[in-house]
Amino acid sequence: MIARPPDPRDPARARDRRRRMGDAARILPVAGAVAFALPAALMVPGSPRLVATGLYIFVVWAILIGVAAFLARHLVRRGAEPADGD
Amino acid sequence: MLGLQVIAGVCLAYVVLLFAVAALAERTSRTSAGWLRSPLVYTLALSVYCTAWTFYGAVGSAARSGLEFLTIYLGPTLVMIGWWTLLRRLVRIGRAERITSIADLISSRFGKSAWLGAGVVVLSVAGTAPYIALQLQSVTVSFAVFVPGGTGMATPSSPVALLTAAGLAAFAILFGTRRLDANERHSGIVAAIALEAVVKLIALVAVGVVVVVAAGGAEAMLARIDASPMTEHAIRPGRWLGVTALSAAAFICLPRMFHVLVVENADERHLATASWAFPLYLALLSLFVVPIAATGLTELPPDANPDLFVLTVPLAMGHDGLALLAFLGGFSSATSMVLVAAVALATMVSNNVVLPLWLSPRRRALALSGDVRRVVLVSRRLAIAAILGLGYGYLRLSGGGAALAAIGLISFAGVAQVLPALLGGLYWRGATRAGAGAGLAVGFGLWFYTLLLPSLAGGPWIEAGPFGVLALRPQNLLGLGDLDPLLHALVWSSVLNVGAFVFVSLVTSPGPLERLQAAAFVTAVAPSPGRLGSTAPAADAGDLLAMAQRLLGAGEARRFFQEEAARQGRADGEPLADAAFLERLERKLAGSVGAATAHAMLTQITRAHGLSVEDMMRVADEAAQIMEQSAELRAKSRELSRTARQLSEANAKLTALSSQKDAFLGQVSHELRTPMTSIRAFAEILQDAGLPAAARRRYAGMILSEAERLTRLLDDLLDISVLERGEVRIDKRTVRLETVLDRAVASAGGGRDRRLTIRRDRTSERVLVDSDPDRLAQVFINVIANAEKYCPNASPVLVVRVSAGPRRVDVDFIDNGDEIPEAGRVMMFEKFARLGDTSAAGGAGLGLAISRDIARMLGGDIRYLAGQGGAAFRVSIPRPALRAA
Repeated sequence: MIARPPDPRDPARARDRRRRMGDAARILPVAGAVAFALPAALMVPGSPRLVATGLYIFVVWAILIGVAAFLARHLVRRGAEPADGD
Repeated sequence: MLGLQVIAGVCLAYVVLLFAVAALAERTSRTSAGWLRSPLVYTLALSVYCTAWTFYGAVGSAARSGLEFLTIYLGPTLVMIGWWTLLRRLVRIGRAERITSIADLISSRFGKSAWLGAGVVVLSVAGTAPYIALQLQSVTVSFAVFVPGGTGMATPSSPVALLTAAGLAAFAILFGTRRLDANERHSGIVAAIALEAVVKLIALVAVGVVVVVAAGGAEAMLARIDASPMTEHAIRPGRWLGVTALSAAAFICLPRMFHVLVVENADERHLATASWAFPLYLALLSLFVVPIAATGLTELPPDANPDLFVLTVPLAMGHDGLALLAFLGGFSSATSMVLVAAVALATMVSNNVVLPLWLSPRRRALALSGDVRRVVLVSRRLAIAAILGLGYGYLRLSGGGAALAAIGLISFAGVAQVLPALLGGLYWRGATRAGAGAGLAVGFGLWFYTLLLPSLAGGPWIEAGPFGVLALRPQNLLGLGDLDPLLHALVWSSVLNVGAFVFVSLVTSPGPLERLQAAAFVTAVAPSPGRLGSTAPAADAGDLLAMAQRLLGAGEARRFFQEEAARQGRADGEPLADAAFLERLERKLAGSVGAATAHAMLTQITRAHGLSVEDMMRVADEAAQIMEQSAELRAKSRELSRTARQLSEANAKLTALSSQKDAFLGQVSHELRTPMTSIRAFAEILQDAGLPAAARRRYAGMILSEAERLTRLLDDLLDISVLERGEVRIDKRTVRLETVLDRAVASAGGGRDRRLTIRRDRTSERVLVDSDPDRLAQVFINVIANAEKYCPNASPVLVVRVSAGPRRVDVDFIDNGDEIPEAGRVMMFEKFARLGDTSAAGGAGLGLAISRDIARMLGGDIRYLAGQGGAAFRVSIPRPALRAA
């Protein structure tokens, strides 16, 4: 994924970049659901492997959190005007 | 060992601290938003999801069935990282529609239906009361852990449960119903549960770290886990997936979660932060669950309750302080859940049950007057007390114990029945009130029958079926197979719930208010996260240009945009969508679609409330199509009316011509008859001999003159027929106009009684023309003769004016008589035309027709010249080509 900051002088590119970020944000939960479902889908009876499964879940979890944090920062940046008091 | 007094004291101190924090938050929230409205507090407040059931129960669940406890956290994680799709929309709708609870949302979406709202309230209360009972139980049980021989403390009848319930009711009433806010936010409670969230996390992580360190590090801990009996519990795929989905659904639908997620959300950007921060919180909270469970399983006696490992493991290790912290963590989990749930449910009860009932006999419109405020506040206080009373009563009735422990997921499954109506309402315009009601009723009924009822009233009827009907066994409906009871209930309730919702929605049609609300909810897609300031241009020029092109046409729109960009001094040709530009664009568009539409379209695009740009594009497309069609129609109707006019003109001309023709034939026969009659009469006279010679000569002269008149008439008739058939020979050459005019004047003016004065300007006549001199002279003679014949003036004067242009010469003949009336100007050039009945007629009205035919054959024309003071004709003659000149 391209990680260069959007060039404010190029609205078309910024728009496109934002669109891609939004798409990624929509896909992320689906990808997460698939990843979390894998242990159930690949269950081989009789070989629980609790530690390995647990570690796998936590690794996926960490990746999802990281990607979500990255996306959240970029998706919000454009709307980041000075906060208006409630 | 910690004594009862210590525990009670700590609890009391902690509660006082919570009160203080809540009171402080209430006070500061009135002066400034400050830290209370930070994304961190919002994220921590979300942890109200993690109740005592998850705090203690997660470890118990891990000890009993391995990793399955994780599913409770994975569902919410997926919902949070998917905030961009669902929660963002939910928060936006919540703010736009001033939603106060999930019951309010459902009611509002489906045409502000009071019945539907009340139904969701009932469902929520039914699902939450046992859950509150579970929290009260966890407090009493954990309390008992610290009291030596305190098993009596753990029973539901223990005063701890009652005290806790009463204390929480007081807290909730104090901070949840202190004032009535339009946005229903409660800073005090949010601050308190944020603090409790920190305590929960610290407590569990601290216990976890101590356990891992005591085991000799991470490696040793992993080895211990691998050796523990937990590894025997394989993942059950059905439950793994089912509970993940269920917890995701419950995360949105639980009244307390909806309250914190949507109602307490002050800023959309907080949601963005929480999207990763809350999953992180959940991950940290569950990180040490398995190590604690493994330690408890290996270190503690086999009869120890796994649900209390969080407390008993540190106690067994001699860490009394840590156990106290863990206790406070559990206490926090229980109290925060009860607080928020009570406030959320009380809001629902007052807004969606009490107020509609109270207002219904008072049909007159009521503002939020003091009267209503009082009703709302009192009803909320009573509702909070009632809900806690319900929870306590449920605890006493159920007798606590294992039956209660299962209530967590049962409660989830109950509130999750709202999800189809919620999602359908947000994404499907066709979802109707009847559909939502049917789905909810079916789902709720099935949940009650297959899940709640068996948990409350177990007995042989579960296995044998009610009244012995096997097909109605609540945990094996229709005998379709031995599923896990939870999964069985989930599958049945969700499939039939969705099915009823969709089917009834399809066969019913929404009312007007429903349609309105459906449009507002389904199209609530907004441009960007974060609040839009009034100055921020929300629309970009690209969208505006695309729309303008559809209305104005591509060229016009692009030109306008480039002009605007130039005006703003922007080189890229894309104008900034500032207020001035929008105003001009609106005016421009108003020209094509009308002011109101243009304003609406621009408002929609720039503010992006309600309709998406795509929607507006469709509207613009349709408008452009309609405009195009109507323009076509207008053009067609113009063409038709033009043709009709031409036809009626032609018809009038034909009618006139035909009557003229009849008149002319009469005229011709008369003209022919008159000379013939006189010729015959004079000839008879001449036959008489003895006539004096003078008289004989006179009569012969008369015969001659009459014969000449006949000849002239016949010549004219011959001429016109020859010209008509185009058989005239034209002999064009370069000739001096003066010569032709001389000849014409000489032959026209000769031998008449009335003397016509002709004024000529000979210098201007010395110009060369390209024409046939004989034919041209004929035209001139005709015009001059006409003036001679018809000019009514006593001393007629004809002015001949020549003006030479580069390509042609115009010769004007203007007399000092009357102008020819307009009606006759066209007709007079037609054959057989005569103006009025003029006795002076020497011809038969063919003169001008002949003249025009000749003039056109010569490459020129003759036409009437209006506004010259008398009858005036202009004869145009082409000039010779330059090389010839």
